[in-house]
Amino acid sequence: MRIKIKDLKDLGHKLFFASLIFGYILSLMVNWNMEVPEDLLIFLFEENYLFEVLSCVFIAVKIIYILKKKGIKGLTKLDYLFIGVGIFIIGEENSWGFHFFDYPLGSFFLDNNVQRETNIHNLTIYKDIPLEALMYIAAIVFIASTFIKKESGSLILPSN
Amino acid sequence: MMDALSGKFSVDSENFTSANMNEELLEYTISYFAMVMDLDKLESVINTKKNGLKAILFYK
Repeated sequence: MRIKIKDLKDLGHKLFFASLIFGYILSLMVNWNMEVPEDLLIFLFEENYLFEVLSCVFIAVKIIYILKKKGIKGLTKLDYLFIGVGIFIIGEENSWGFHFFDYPLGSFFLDNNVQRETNIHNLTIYKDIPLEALMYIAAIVFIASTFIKKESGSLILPSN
Repeated sequence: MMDALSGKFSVDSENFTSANMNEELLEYTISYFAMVMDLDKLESVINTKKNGLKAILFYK
């Protein structure tokens, strides 16, 4: 039996969605002071653990999918934008290799980065508030906008 | 978590809070939407309306 790319894509979306819902259930349980094994929470949510790694993997998979589907010549401006932003996010998430290669940290990042890492999204904008707070607000507004419906279905999300 | 002074990587379970969790969950949610987003559809809307972000936010 031949496995179709579309089936794999649908399976990936479903697994991703299921893990997301699972994460939110755990989050609610923690916020309601229910007992959740701490080891499980750390395994899922600590820096550089499952959810963070999977975030990068899924973005990388999407970038590869776009490149395979359209080829370099078939890319649109929006594809280039997505690929550029995606690579930037993956780089930022592992602090451009700082998490793995442990290179010396400059004084600028020691003084201005909330987590003392070489990334931009954790730079301080006011007191201990990092730049990523603004990015999150922008992302939430964008995601909320995808729920706006038109006659033929959802605006951005796949119709099937 | 990287300790800038010692330069060692370790899981600091004492400092792990629900804030860490919420942050990772938010990033994961954004990644999910990036994954399922239909770029072609988005581009066609932008091209139709020619108003960029305004088209995304206020298209009806």
